[in-house]
Amino acid sequence: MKKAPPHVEHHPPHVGLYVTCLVDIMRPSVAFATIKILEAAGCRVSVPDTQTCCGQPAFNSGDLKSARALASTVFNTFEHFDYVVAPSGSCAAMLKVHLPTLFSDSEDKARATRFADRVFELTAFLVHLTGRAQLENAYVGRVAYHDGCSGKRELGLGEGPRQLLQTIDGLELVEIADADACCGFGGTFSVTYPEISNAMVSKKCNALTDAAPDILTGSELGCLMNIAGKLRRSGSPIACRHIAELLAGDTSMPAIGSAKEDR
Amino acid sequence: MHPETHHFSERSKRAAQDKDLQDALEGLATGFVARRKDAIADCAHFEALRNQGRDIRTRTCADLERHLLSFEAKAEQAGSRIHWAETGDDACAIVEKICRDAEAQSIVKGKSMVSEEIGLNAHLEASGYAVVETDLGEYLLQLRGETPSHIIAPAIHLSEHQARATFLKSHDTLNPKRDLGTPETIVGEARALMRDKFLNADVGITGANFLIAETGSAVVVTNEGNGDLSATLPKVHIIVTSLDKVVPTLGETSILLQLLARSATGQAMTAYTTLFTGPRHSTDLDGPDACHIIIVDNGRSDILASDAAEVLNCIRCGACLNHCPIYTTVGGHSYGWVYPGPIGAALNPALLDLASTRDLPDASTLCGRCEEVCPVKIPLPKLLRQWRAKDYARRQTSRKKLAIMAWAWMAKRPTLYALWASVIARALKSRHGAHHTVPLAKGWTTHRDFPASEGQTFQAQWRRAKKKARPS
Amino acid sequence: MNSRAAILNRIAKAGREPTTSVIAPQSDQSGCTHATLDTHTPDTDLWQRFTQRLKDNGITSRQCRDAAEIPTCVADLANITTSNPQRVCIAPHAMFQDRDWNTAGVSEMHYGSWKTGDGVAVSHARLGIADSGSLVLASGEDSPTGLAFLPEIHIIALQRNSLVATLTDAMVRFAEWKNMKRNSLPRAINIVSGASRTADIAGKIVHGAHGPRKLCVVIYDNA
Ligand code: SF4
Repeated sequence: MKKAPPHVEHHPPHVGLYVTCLVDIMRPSVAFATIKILEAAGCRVSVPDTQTCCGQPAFNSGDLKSARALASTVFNTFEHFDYVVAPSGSCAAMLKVHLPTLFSDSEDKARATRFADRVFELTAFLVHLTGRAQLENAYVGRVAYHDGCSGKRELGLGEGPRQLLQTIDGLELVEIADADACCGFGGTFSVTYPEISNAMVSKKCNALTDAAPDILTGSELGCLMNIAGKLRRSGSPIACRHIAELLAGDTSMPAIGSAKEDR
Repeated sequence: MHPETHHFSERSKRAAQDKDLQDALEGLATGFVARRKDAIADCAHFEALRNQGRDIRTRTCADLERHLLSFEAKAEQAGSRIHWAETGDDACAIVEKICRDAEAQSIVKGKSMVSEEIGLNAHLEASGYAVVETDLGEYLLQLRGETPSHIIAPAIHLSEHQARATFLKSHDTLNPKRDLGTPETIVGEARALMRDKFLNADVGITGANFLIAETGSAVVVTNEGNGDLSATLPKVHIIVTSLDKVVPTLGETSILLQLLARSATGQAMTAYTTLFTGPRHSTDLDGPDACHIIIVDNGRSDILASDAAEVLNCIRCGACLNHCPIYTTVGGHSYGWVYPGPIGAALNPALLDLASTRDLPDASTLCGRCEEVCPVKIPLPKLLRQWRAKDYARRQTSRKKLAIMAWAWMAKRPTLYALWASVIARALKSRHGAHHTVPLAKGWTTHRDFPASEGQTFQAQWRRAKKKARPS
Repeated sequence: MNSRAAILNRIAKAGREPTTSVIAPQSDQSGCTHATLDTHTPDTDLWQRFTQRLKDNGITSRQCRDAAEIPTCVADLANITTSNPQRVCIAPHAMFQDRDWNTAGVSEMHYGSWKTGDGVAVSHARLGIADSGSLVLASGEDSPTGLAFLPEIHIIALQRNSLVATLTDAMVRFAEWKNMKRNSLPRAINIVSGASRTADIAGKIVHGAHGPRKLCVVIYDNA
């Protein structure tokens, strides 16, 4: 992540926002928050409207041909940016970690690697910019962070997201037991193995109930929807929000899975 | 052991809802996981050890023939007899013949996953031999007619209560009113019974954790000491092992041993780690007169040539099981064969066949914890994805395949995709904030609500916002 | 084709090229790092580590100046008194022969292999390993293997200058222990790091699964 992008960066840096399917369809406010954050960090942000899916579902299902085809679409759409930023650990990991493994041809591989170097998950990008973001945010309350699996283990986000949260005025960071345990979402896994998925998300919710934060946040909308859905079904008051919303200081949208403002 | 891997779906469903099993599995987190964490915190160079471990295993497998030949030569020089078995049945037949030649009446056996894999006990029993499993967990399972559910803690699925009930029922010549109220008394009873078996056995069978090419030694790691008793008291010692266990040198073995115990049980070393080299020397005061080493292939040489070769680097520590959210939810029996958990999901399709094991690599969120804890850094998620790709290519059609194909087809067409996205975004809106049911997502909504969308896609909103900012 | 040839043939055909860093079958060229502590003048750190690890492993230890004190330490560790007599099986090791066991209170004893009824056994270690709190025994005419697995209490004597830092330090030395006649290692080299234990009953750790319930070490300075 320390590695400088391989080409001369524009001033201000030109960032292509990789919206991600889930954010586009389910929770656009995350993308708006992300743009706000990136602009506050001094970036020029563009959102290519021809972007679709990073190919993650195809890749994880073993459809490598489709994954490769979608990768080419992604390259064509995003290659000319200084940076590509996604508010999702798993989509960023798809673009950054997995795309280069899809190609054996050396030219394609080199292209994928060059591209991968410039892809960042949102919090990793903010850490990369080291304090360039002038964010106006405040949240008074207890917040827990759920390490998404891709972010934690494929991208190695480490303590970055927590450090960013701690810069928020009034925010008290609380830890949940086994914070980096999988919540049981796993994309199609959540519907193909519902009983196992449910057992996993139940464990996560029990740990959350013990820690009793006001908000659970994370960088992965899929996980947050899974956990929020379970919390809501069991009548828990814990609200779930994407980390971009907290960092942008914009919690005007009701929390995930909720109809009303959480406070 | 007869593979029943194709039952994963039903079995795991039942297991996830089995309260007793869930209680038993919960102990893994407090036991193995916590102890491993402490042991690693206490070993500053653990990460360096892992890198060395991975390199040792990779280099060894890359030059396996040479190391096996050197092992064979050294072991024979030390007086061991080496037998090569292409299949499990071959291996069983070899063991049976050794037992027959030794005129064995009773056989004691230490824990060995390879012997489970090849169904050795069933074979010997069918040939009329009495085989006693001496690892306490394995012994319990033998009494209950069950199979191991974990590679280092075979009876992890059983509660103390079930262990007690098993002893009361099976040891029916003992006083039924005796005190078996604590783990200590249960263990004490097993110890007393087992002592007799050890002292009277004619043949002892063990597995091996490693084979050292430099010296022709077999390494056996235990905490109970049952492997050592099986290898020392009977007049014949048979080691049933597989060809992937070879390590070139003593020094390299020491690296793998340091990784093994810490990863498995969270000990710096288990209570007993023993190098067995040949039968007793003429001046020795104890030990067997003969030592046989059976090197089982059973499909491994084919795996070596495949893109799944990295599974052969496994040192069977069980850490990937203990840390797997799927394994710790469904338990080992759901996997339907000897090797459960992530390593089972990566290995079983190679050792058996993909058609009957396809659910195992599929039933994963690819969360990556297994790779994170694996002492030899086997890229398990990558291997699972590889099996998925093979399965995808193999299958003509399935509902999931059609869905993925449709999705990918659309994702290649941005305009169509945008249209589809806005239809879905609108459909998933709800003023309650979430849905109680969603068509085609019953698996989700049986257990949890489905959070509602905001109603319009981001792209649509963004387009509008931009238009407003810059009217044409 | 016999099984051996068939298997080796398939392995050879797997076509995985030997990598450049082929490992020489000599431990000192294995590429593994061993600590280079001079084990004959062990530093205090090493001893501290060792005694701490022994404690962690539940091993009771006693220190004495002179090997002549071993019998007293054994009686003490095994709690042998006139009211608690125990038959002790002693490895026929030079260090234990001609010692005054009787005066130390060990009246019932014999040298050799374990016999039914022996509650305590005494062996002599070849090495101690500081990193893991382990003791290394090697089978031979002065060291029957059964002593480590059959008694209730196992006591191991370790000479102070036989301590090494790591398992690797210990294991690379095994190569030097070859029996000349057969040119092979002792039949059994036991690296013992605690009393026999099991966690097979509901994950609870219980000692004395098959072997000793208690493991002790007597560390002595000189012969
Ligand atoms: S795959 Fe790795 S973690 Fe799993 S049992 Fe094998 S060595 Fe241990």
